[in-house]
Amino acid sequence: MPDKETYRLPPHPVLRDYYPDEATRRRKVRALFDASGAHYDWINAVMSLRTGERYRREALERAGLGAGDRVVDVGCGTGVLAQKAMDIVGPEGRVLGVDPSPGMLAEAVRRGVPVVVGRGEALPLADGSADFLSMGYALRHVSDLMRTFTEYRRVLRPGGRLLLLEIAPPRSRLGHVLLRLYLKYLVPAITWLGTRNPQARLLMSYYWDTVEQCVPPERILQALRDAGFVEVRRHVLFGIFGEYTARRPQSETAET
Amino acid sequence: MLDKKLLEILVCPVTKGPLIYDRERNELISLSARLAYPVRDDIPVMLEEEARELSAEEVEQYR
Repeated sequence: MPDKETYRLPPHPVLRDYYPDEATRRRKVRALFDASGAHYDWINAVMSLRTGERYRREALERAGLGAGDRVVDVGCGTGVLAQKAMDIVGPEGRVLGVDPSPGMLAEAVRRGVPVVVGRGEALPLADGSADFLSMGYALRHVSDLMRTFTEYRRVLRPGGRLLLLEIAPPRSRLGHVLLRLYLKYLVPAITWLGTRNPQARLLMSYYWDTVEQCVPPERILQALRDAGFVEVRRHVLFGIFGEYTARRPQSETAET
Repeated sequence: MLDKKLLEILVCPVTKGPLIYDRERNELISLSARLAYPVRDDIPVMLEEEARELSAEEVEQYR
């Protein structure tokens, strides 16, 4: 196999409205999530009009998750995706949620999801210890996509599967404007009315800005290939919801 | 109490080296990184910036 590419790929540029540099970003974003944990599921339910849970389960199944699998869900937040994974893998499998925000993890624990505090860029997990690795709507919050994907590859066993769920702005101008109106203005406003929590409102406003500024899907796909993944694909629903799937090669020499 | 199966797959996020669970102090010790990761509310906090640096004497103790 040729040497894996190594370069830095932040998921979005520095967003100066929110933070001046990378170190501050980590701290601030974590604080936003910590403060929003108790409200997050409510916001998500409103935002996705309660279709989100079924979609997540179907996405996991489409990506090939099966009974008995050992799963790591990175950026698990309140544990919605991890809980769906637990339903699928059953008692013979195992699911572990990883997230840097204890405030979000408190909700995941309430759901019965086993968790550790950690980051995708530096996973505290042994090489090859997972059959399946998932990340739902958290890709925009890591500091470097390449470092993160290299870690994912390390933690997956050879042949193990990856699923990343992420939204991207629609390609059409009108679609973009509508989604912007919805996510940038309507969702933060509803969040404020429903929670009266300024941090939660700010988080939802930040959410849109990271979506809009995120590197395009093609770059994410390329970074996955550069990190040594094979069968790299993206399946899109409604022009917004993206499912990136990939596999760690079965043997390091044969498949690349 | 930390789950045994969880302890089997946890490694130091910095060095990927093994961890020692110190029940008394409720910390996960990484000798390779000379760091002690706290366990809060039964949840291991595996972040470099939250870890405590081990003194040379402590490192000797754990060896």
